[in-house]
Amino acid sequence: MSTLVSAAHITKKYQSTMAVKDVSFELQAGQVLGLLGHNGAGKSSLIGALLGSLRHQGEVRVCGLNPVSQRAELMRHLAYISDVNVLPEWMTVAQILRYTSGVHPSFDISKAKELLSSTQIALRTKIGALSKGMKVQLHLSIIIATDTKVLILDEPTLGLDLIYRDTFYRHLIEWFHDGERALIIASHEVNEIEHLLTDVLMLKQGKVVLQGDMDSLHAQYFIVDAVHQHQEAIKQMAPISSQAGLGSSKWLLRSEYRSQAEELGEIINPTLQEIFIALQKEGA
Amino acid sequence: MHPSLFMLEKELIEHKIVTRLPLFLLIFGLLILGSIMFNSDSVNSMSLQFSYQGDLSADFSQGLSSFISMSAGAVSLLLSIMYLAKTFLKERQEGSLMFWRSMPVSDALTHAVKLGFALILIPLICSALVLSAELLLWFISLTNGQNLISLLGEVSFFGALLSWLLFMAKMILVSLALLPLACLLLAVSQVSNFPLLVVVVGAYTLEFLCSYVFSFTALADFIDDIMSMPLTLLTAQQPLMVFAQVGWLSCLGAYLLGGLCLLFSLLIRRQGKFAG
Repeated sequence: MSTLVSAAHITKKYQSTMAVKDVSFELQAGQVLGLLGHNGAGKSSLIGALLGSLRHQGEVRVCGLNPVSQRAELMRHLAYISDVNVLPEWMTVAQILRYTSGVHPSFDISKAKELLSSTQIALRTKIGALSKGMKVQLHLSIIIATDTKVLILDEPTLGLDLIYRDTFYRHLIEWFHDGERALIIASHEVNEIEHLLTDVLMLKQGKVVLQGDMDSLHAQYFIVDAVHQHQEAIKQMAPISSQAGLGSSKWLLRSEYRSQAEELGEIINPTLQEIFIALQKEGA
Repeated sequence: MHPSLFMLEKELIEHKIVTRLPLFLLIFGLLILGSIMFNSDSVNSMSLQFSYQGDLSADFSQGLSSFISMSAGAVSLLLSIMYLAKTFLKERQEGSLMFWRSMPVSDALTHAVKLGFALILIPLICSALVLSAELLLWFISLTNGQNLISLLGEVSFFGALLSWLLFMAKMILVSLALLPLACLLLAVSQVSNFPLLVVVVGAYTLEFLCSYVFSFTALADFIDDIMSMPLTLLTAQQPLMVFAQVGWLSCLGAYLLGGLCLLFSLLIRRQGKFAG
């Protein structure tokens, strides 16, 4: 597997605020990285560094290219969809397809038109007249019709209804399996993207609080559902979080305590969202 | 087709005023001339009262050509300056900057296309206005016979073409003079929301400070010469003399400053702006 994204010691500081602190990761073809964190955790700053749109410290390589000095060449292989519309609203759908076909050597306009024919997006419509879901659909169609190797999504489904979300992820999965590609998804909707992810990078106040592949992640944590009388024993295991229920509580613990906790209650595998909430709240 | 042609096409779609204003002026001119043509009685009964020394008909015809040429030149200059101040600013304000940056187009090509659009394509579009107006006058002189010839003098096909070529030659010089200012506007429009205001107020403030505070009139004269050169060229009878009057040292200084502004603009564009 070839390394498509390599970020080493990325640090970004805004005056006195540390947006990203010493983040490093590598992403290979076939991997889907979930970039998770609260608002202001540093996700967008990290994406800015990957896109070459933000001055930062550290080294970034995407498809072996520097995003700042080799941006034009890199953009043949890298694409980005954000939570806000970046498509020019004064253009019609046909005009943006024509423009992209003119400047993007690997853009297949017939493929884009074919993708759009299965939607309600008419070629003569102005982009400004499209709904948010349609704009995201159009943007994704443009990306799918190019030979993009790395796609970065920043809260792509924010504000979309369930139907558009479903269509979006269906097209995304088709695109992903269509070649040697890597995907980075920054999202608050942890449940929505969990099934897509192979890897996770969780940020909190710019620092990495969790990093690794999904399997190792699930091996690092577990939940024990124990009756209240074991509360004091469990507290000795430095629980990350707890959720009180009727007669029992659910405790999120690190795997090193697994054998001890097995005697105290039922062991459950935590979801990514449970780990996410616990880690974001930890020490808060 | 080369990507730059698609980029120019995109600029034309985005800045429709560049084609619409000259077209509007042409239609407006057509309507006025049409009304004169269809009311030939009014041409016959038209009386002009002014004192003049020399060959009236020849000078009036040349005057009309100059008026057309100067008006089209002024429109071209206005459109170019408006475009240069707006083009990068609009991308930032509407949020499409990230989309344009996501295309495999180098910043150098983007700048070249934007400069080409402002300094070549806009004058070319306005030259079509000149050519159309001149050909229209020639056509009217053919169809309306003596009535207008007596007023305008002889209007020939080659005369119309010559006027167009002279306009083009003049606009090449205007564009050359505008180039440093164009680079400055491109740079300023990437960091300010009011680039035209910043440039004009900045230039006048600097000029004022140089003249009245630091008594450094050479710099004040330089700013004045460079800022006014495109307009001076447009109104000059002998445009080449304007370059000579400004002096090669000032021109060299202006182009060096323009080059620095272009580098600065490329540097800002390279880093882009990202909402973190």
